[in-house]
Amino acid sequence: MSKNTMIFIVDDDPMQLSMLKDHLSAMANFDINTFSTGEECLAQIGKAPDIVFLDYNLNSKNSNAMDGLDVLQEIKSKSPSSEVIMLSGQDKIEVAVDTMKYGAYDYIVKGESAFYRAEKAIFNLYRLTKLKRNAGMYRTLTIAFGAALLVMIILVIYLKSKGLISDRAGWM
Amino acid sequence: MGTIVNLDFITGFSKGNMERVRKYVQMFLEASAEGMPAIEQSFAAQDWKRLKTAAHTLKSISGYMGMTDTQNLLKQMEENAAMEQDLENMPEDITKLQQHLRQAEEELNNFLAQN
Repeated sequence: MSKNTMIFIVDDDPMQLSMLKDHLSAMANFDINTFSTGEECLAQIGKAPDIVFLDYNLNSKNSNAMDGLDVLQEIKSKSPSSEVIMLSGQDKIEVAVDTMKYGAYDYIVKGESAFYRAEKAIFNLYRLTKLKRNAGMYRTLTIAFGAALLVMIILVIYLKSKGLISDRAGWM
Repeated sequence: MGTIVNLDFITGFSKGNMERVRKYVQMFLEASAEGMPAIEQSFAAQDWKRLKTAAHTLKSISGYMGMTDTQNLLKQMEENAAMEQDLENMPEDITKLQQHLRQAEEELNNFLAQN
């Protein structure tokens, strides 16, 4: 993740939206975009945000609005690299499991500890991204080393076949 | 009667920034002014799904205002509406909720006037 991590917050409750935005803004120099409906968020999903905080109950004010689970599935299909952290007032395990099944990275129950948990989830994501980056680097190094070794072996075989080096030289 | 509101959490959350505390208090008052009629209307229409949603919305933000009793009452109303159970208790719960929110409104308006 770059230093200007892009975060989307989607919640139809203005107070929740404002509190989370204020809290994350004080935490780091994030590029934060807020939306009161899932539809508005999906219209901007082309920006491929790094993290999306998504309310589970998005149709509390407008019953025709998309709910959190539908929005989650759309986000994961249109922007698979975006990590989605679900927010909900429900502390039911089956709701949390459902969201994880559809690709959510974490599930946070709204309340006083939610802001600390949101912070922790971001730190965990940073750590995960770093691990993935390191794993990618090691894989690249292993492939490069393997390729270099192969080229060296082919070169030695070729030079030997041309009589340019001999066993006495101690090469092979 | 003791106070119903406790602004310790919201003041700590706002790191003592009174402008932020005032903003959240005003947002709570607006949400409460919308939420209570929504609960009353959905009860009159026996629209339990809408009542559940309205109670759910008010539940979380009541917690931020330190209104623990109100939060517990709303949790119970939300569950009853979701399960369509103990509905005979709903009028009494609504009356209690009206009292809680009226008292909260008074306390929060006093806070806004003084800060």
